[in-house]
Amino acid sequence: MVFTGGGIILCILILSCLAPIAGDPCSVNMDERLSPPSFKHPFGTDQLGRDMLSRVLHGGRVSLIVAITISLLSMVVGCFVGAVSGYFGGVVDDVIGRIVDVFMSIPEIVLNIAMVGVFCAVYGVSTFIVIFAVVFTNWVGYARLMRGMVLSLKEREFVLCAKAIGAGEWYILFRHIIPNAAGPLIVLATLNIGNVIMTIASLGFLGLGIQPPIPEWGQILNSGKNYITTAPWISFFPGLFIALSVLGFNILGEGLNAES
Amino acid sequence: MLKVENLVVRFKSRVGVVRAVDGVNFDVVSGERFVFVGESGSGKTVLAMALVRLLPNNATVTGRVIFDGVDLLKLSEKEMRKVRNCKIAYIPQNQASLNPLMKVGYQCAEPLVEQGLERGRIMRKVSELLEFFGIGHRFKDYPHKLSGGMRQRALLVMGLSREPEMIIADEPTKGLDAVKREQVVEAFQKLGRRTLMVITHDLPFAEKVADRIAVMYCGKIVEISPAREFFDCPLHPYSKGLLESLPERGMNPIKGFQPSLVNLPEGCRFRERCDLSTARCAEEPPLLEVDGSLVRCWLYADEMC
Amino acid sequence: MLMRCVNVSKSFKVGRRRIEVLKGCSIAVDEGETVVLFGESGCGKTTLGRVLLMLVKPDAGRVFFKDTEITAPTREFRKSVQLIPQNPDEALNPRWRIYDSIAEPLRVHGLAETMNEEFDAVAAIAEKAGLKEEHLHRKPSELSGGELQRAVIARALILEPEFVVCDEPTSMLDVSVQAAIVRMLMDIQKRTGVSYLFITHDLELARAIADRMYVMSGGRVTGELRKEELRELSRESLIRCELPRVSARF
Repeated sequence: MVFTGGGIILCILILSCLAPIAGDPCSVNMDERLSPPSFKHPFGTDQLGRDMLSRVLHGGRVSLIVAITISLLSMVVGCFVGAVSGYFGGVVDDVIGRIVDVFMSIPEIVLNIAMVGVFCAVYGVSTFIVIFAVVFTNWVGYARLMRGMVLSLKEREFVLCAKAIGAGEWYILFRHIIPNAAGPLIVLATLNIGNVIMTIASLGFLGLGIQPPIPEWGQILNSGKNYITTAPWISFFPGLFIALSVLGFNILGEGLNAES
Repeated sequence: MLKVENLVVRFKSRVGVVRAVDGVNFDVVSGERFVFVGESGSGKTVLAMALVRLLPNNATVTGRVIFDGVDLLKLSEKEMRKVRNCKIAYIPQNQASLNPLMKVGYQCAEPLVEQGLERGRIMRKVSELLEFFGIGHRFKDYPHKLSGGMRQRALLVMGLSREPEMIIADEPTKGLDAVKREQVVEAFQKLGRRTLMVITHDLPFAEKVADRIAVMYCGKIVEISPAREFFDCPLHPYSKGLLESLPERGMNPIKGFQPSLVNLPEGCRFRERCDLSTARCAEEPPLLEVDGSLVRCWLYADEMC
Repeated sequence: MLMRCVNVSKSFKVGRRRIEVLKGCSIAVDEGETVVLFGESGCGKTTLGRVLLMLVKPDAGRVFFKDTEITAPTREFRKSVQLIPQNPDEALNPRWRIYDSIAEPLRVHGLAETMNEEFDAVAAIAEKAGLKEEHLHRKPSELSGGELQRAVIARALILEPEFVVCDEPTSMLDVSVQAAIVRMLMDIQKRTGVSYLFITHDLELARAIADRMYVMSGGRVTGELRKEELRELSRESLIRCELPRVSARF
């Protein structure tokens, strides 16, 4: 399973890296607009005659880089908050616990849309706002997992032994507890990247995500929706790549989970 | 009653094939209390589980295990289940072997339900047995409320309830303190003349329970002796070392470390830790008979000639 | 007295109930002594050991180390007192090599200036603890129980502490390994004059090593026996755990 999932992701990553070979994703050619897949344009062209292969592959670069960034950032934030909450307990844990509850009680996508809406109104549209908005809701899962792991790890005898030799609280947390929670965290992160890809694509589809002319899967999918009957390839290929990469990350995550 | 011939258990692992039990021969006569002693890694638990065929799938077992004239290794899984249910009771070593969601009394009655007895009789029988071992008042408690010694006795009741012909108990005193160990000893002494095979690393416990002792070291039996002779005058150098490392016998350790089962020395497996080893020990010693005992050591070879 | 505690009490909250684990215990350990703390499982002996090390803060009572009262553990105190826990499989970080675990106390207290200095110190203590160099480069999962316990002991002794709580260090080990480990602890005591508080439920073992023995039961220290009194106990009463005249002194 690890190899299947890893293989799918690796293929998509290599293809995305090779994107420049497929040409410029933004060069408009009105003579070839809405042409179906052919040798010249394996994935066809869109309503502006742009090469879909190039657009989908460039879109993959953006989608994957943004998704991985979001996942890593949420992991850092979530781990830190969860670890502190679990390790120190008491009032700290109560306060963080209630904050997490608040986040859990609002559907994620609604919160994302609200965040993007508010920040875009204030600062204008940018990719960083999308990243920030998704991280804002996404860290909660990591925090919950980390808190649980820390609660059980801190009762282990080797933590007591580290205290006995005189190690400080933060030292124990960072050197002994967090590294031992790494296994399940990596599994969660892999599964989470799949979700994040979908979230970005959803935001892109709603026109709230990464803005044109930067190509991004969800947004390309959206641009094809008016031509779905006449030129279905515009929506089909980004959709296929979203599905494949989510599937790849999920299979990899399940595989890692089964092994650990 | 039980006769084991040339039993070999191999495990495939990443570092190579591990021969956890390597050519073991012994027999247990009816009504006898036969105790295996050995330290962790000697293969004694694997041996017990091999007898009742409860080992995981990556183990291969060869040899013969003859119980009442039937070779257990040749039985089908269905027939084997019947043997485990009615004839041989295997009592596992871990006191966590009880289902935490089931009350002790009902759990002990499970083997009888399997046999299809009538409910009222089952309950009467189980409560009598629990009473007999001093935990009758715990019939309706969940396992976590019981102390380690009580759980061990509950496991014993579970094994006894179906009146087996033979009991195989694996490490019944593991992790118990002195008082609770004493309770388990009493429970075992109450068993009367049932055929019993006990696996243990606890020598004082073995001394109180055993008729005959077998010592295992690195997958091989190195000595089988009547219990009294064993504790008065052990034959094999390893047995001597083991007894002398008891606190009440001077607490003198055996030198060196136990070799890993993957990488065993040629010939006698104890020779690198033995003070009496000679050049001859590079060859595998046979199991020799000395005054009613069996011992696997070249020291006794000359006396025979 | 090197280490002593006076009237310490401790209770833990379990669900809605409070369980009193220690009910006013007082014990003392002198320099170079091996004092055994004996009791059934669940009598509070482990908690008492941890209170002495200030790993558990007592609700009431006072702990003195070299006649100064310890309220919050200082670095100096942590350097002078150590713990050898019961279960060697659990006592070391499973992701660290044995070498790093043994060297950790030096690193925490900043005692080794160079890598070479650190290596020499670790090698020296590992040898005393009966470990070979090959053991140092492995992870805990690749060692047997006896080897692990040696590593745990090496780690506890690398700072040359004056007082060590040994919390049933051999109860999970085989008798021949137990003998080797206990002998080793006694040898080190002879060389360095360290004091041990040795927690055990094995009376035979207690009799073999104790200079003095405290008996605990139900959260109280119920008796104290001198070495000679321990010797006089018959084998039968040892097995049955009947301790004559135990509560006479208290």
